Amino acid sequence: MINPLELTGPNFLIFYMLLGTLVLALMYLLRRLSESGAVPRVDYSDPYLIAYLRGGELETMRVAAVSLIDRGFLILSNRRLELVNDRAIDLVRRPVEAAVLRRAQATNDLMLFFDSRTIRRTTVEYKETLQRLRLLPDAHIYRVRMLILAAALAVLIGFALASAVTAAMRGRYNIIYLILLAAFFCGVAIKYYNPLRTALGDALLTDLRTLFQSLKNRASMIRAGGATGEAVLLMAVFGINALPGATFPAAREFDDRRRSNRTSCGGGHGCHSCHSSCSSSCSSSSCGGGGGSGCGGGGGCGGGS
Amino acid sequence: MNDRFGIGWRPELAAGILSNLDCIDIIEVIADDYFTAPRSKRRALNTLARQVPVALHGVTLGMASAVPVEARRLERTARLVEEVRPEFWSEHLAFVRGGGVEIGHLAAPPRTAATIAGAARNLDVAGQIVGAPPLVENIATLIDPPGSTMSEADWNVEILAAAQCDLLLDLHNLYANAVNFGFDPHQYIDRMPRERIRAIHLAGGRWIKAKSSGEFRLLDDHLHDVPEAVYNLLEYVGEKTCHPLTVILERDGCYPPTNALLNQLDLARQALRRGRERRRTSPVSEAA
Repeated sequence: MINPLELTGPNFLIFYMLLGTLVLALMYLLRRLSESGAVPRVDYSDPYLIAYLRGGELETMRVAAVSLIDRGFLILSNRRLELVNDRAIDLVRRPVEAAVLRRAQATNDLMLFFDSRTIRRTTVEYKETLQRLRLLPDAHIYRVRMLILAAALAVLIGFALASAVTAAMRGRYNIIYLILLAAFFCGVAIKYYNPLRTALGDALLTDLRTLFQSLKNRASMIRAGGATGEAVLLMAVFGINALPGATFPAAREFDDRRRSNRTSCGGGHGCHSCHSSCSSSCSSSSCGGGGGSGCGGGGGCGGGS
Repeated sequence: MNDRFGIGWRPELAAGILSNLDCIDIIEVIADDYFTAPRSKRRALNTLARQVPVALHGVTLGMASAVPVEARRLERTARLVEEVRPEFWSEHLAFVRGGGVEIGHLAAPPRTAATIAGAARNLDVAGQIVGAPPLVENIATLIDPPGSTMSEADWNVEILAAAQCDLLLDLHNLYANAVNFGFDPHQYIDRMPRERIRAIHLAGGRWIKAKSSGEFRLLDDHLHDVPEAVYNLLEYVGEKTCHPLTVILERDGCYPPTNALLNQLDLARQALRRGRERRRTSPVSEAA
């Protein structure tokens, strides 16, 4: 049996790379194991729950705003959001929608619009529901993730330190590559130890995207005006850019805003949400779907089934 | 009494169905779409089945045939049933292949003693392999099957008696056959063992004109709204039965807004309720 600490130079670095890869893989597997299970029943009648699951609070607010524009409660003009009239607030059902409409009374500037604690507070209920369903990490899952991270860092740093001490005892001080490798693996472990969703949440979102794929493909057939809940659920699952810009011009406007946000997002409270919503909507939707299949899909039923 | 009302699951209707589960009790999934589907699609189906009760509907087994159903196909069905755990599964009283050729269509076999025996044997084997017998569905046909020696009603009743299966009564198929071949659909319903009617299909169709004869035929295409006459038949079924029924609305294309489908489901609810009400208040029905 070879003592890895006896390895020197490139041999130890290769060993450490293998060890680092193994530790990251184990972290991933342990997280998946501890967070998986049977997908729970979810209330799809409130699409903002799914929007929150996909992209957090900012995405929920954006989906609500586009839905309200589509339904005629908000007007988007020259990158300013305006309330169509004060009575609109009493006509919407969801607290997040009412909060977005109230926000439109306070400010019209699209760039400042979502920087609102009041709107964020209305999304807390979604977060709590999703945590209860184990689709988002709660305190317990967060603790488990921290434990897994701590164990991973202990192994990575422990081996690096032991090797450095051994090298020093042998009078060798060229450990810069070891330090760089250790920093790299520790950095990756810290970056990915606490994703937005649990493994169960990822599974549900993936399944919903599979179930809704055909709907996304015929997005161009979805009618504007909120006649059906399809548009808002499509946005919730795939992101705002899944809606065709021609039918839903507001979706295009919000897409522009997101692009500008990506560069201006320099820190602060909104940034995590911004990052997650940007990445999730882009990875999920192939950006700009809408082939349109439409009428006449039901072939093969002529003989009656 | 808890009648249930649902819609045939089509991916295009996914958002409309999932966002209205408060008024959809069950969905019916085409089993054949999942036999060779990738793992991700089957997992999505399992997730769906955890959200809402599911029934599986087969279209390619070809039960009503003198040729035995391939065990391979039944085993696929069995695996899917085991995975999804549906409320029930169903198949058509039709043949879909012959001599190694896939017809790509649900065809009505000759209504003879031989096809009754064949169907009964197939249904028996299906029940053994899958673990539960299917509900069997009457099909629509544009031609009276050549070589038939009995009426559609008699043939269906004989199969039900021989196979110990329950019936998925497709009221638009029944209505289309009745108008195309000139029989009374009410008498057909009366002939069926009423306690064996477990589920109902509703759909729509359109009139087509035969090029050769110039005659019009009603085609069950699942692309149109449910006609009034079919709701009336549902009301009649409600009057004749006293156990819970599962009513499924089928739509395969030209999808209207979800609200329009939900309205049709509401009309079905009202029709069945009217039938149940009439059964309660009718002295004749009470006696029956």
